[in-house]
Amino acid sequence: MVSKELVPLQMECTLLFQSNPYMIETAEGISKKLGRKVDDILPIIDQLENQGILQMLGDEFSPLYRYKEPKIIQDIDFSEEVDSI
Amino acid sequence: MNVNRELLEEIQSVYAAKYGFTIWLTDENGEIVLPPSGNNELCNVILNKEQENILTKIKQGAQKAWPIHTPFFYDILPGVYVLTISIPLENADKYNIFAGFMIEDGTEELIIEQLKTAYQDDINWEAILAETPLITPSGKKVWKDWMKKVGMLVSQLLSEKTDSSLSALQNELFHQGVQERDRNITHLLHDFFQHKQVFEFLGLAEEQENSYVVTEVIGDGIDAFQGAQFSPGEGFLGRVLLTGEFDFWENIDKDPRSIFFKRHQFKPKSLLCYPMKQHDGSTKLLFGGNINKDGFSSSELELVKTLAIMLEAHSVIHHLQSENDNQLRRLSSLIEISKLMVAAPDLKRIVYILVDIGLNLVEGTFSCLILKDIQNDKVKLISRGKAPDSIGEYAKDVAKRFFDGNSREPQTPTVQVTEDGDRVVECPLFNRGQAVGILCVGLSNQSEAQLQEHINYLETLSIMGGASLQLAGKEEEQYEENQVNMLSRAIAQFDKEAYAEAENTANLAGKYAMNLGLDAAVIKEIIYACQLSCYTPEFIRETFPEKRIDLIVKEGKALVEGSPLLWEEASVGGQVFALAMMYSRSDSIEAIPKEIIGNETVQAFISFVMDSRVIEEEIDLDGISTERKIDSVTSTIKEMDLSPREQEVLDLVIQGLNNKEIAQELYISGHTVKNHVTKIFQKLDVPDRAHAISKVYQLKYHSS
Repeated sequence: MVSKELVPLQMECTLLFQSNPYMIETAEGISKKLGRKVDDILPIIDQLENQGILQMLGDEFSPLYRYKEPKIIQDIDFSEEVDSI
Repeated sequence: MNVNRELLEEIQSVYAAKYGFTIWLTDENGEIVLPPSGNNELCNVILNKEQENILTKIKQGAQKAWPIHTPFFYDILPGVYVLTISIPLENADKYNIFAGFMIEDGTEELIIEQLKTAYQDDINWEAILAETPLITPSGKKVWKDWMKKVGMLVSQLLSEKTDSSLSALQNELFHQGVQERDRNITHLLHDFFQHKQVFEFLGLAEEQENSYVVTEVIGDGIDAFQGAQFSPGEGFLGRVLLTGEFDFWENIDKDPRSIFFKRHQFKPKSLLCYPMKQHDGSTKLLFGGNINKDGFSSSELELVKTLAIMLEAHSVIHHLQSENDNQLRRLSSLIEISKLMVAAPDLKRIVYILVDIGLNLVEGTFSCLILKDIQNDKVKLISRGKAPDSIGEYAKDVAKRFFDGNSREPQTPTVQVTEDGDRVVECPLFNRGQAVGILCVGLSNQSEAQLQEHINYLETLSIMGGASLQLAGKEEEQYEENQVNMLSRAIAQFDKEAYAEAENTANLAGKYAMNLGLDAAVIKEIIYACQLSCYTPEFIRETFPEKRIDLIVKEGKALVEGSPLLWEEASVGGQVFALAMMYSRSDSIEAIPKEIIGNETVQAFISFVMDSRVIEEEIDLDGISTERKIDSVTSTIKEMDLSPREQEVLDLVIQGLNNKEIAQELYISGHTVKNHVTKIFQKLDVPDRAHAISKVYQLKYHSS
């Protein structure tokens, strides 16, 4: 679990990827863009990857990350059940 | 201290007189605390002659750190003794009492000889020595007992003095605990241990993975104890965990329970342990004690309690401060996010922010946003993280609870427990007082306090999200309206008549739809459909993929053309579109096919049109007085039941223009002009132009 102090940085990182959905970046690249230490960024990337916000590309030795769009399900009809209640 | 000093002096003088000694008190460095007093001639004379020398000699002796706390005789000169005792105090200070001089029985002559050579004075040493107490085996014991008691008395008096120093120590501890945020509990413990050597060892034990582990040890002979593990109820320390109360044990070196310590090459004789409650509900154990000393004094017990309470307070303060910092940091992040959402209200962006940041903020397991479709009972689900497989079903359930108009679900965040036992916070997003979406975030195991805090954050995020969505929606609407206007005005460039007709239809359809009490968004779509009726549904679909304009146009046109599509099956938008089209093309209710007249919507339309006609006519009647003054046929034409376009055409007919000229004048096709002219003849019930013109003039003269 990411410690509480890092939550704002986590948000910052999320927003960075959200604003640049096509960006593919290494951990070093992300830390440079956010002006933080790589060591601070690594646990956050892990957490974001766990939460499914980031997707890891490449292999374990030279991982790259990019934004993963949320899953969207359209048109779920809920009226029928409402009527039957 | 003054009172104590008086008492000390009293003890000094009483015992000096009783035993014929001169008595004085020094601190551990040999500095005089109570100056010598008493009637021991030998002592007084020698001290008088060379006080400095004697005291220096004693000082040196004292600095060898007499280890024994029982009285003993110390020889100042060969055969001349002083009885002394060392008094250790609880605050680690030491004092020495001296009582003297006494000589050993049978050594008087040797001593006199010695004194005479040393001082070469004509002092009557014989007389002095005769007065000096003699050390005899029985006297020795009495003096030692006496000295022990005096030592205890003095110790008592001096200890009382340290009461204020104990308070000072406590104050200092609290000061450290409150002020020094950067120092952790281990630092504070080390500070305490080094400055106040009250205990021979100190240590901490903390909970780690369901068992307790000794995480910190300070002192000699305890190093191997670091890392020792025990469970609640096990040994002395485990017992404190069970009772949750401070406890202490003395003389434990033979206690079977101390086997746990011995296993770690740690052999305490006395032990105390204080359970420190932590802010997160866990317990840390502070323990301390001695390896050489059997027990504790009451002030030592109090002191360790103070230390523990200070450490507890330090932990709470530290926690609150860091919590406060965290809240501030998160708050500023929330502000950043709000700024972002408001600065560029883009639907997709806002939705993504809500889903992702919702998850970030509370370190949740999954998050999803359920958005209601305004036109129908469908919802859109945007999910993120480890959402359950049945997320679709879950979304339905949430939608039922929040969007069902009849439900009395409080429109505040609620916490649901899923089948798997996970908790999900559900926060509604509002738009003009109506729930338009729900942000749901699943939480892993979190305490109640954390949960409450997270609910607050999520609620704030939802409120901002709702407001931003409203903003984004408005902008989008604005954008759409502009687009529709552009397309509709483009029609005017090529076919003014079609444009005018479309505008008329849109106007009528809009009013009728409003009369039906349809949803504002639906009314807008119907109006747009009428305005864009010249375009193919396919084109409209491409331009407005999110809207149902194309469907309305498609259905409406099919209805107008009398396609087999059943009237009842068509959407209300399509029906309104078709009715308005039919009516405004001919400007007559008769254009509506008889087969559908029985339909409810059609009936409502007919009565709506009739009502609005009556209103129009009423307005005309009201305006008669002013109309009269206008001496032109135009006013007469306006009184007729003609569409604005037909009025224009009739006006030009009266002016004598032929169909071709009218077409040129009005930028419409000759065919359309012909249509209009035919309709005008029908409405005026005349066979040709001449009759039409005549009828207008007749009406004009009749009315004037």
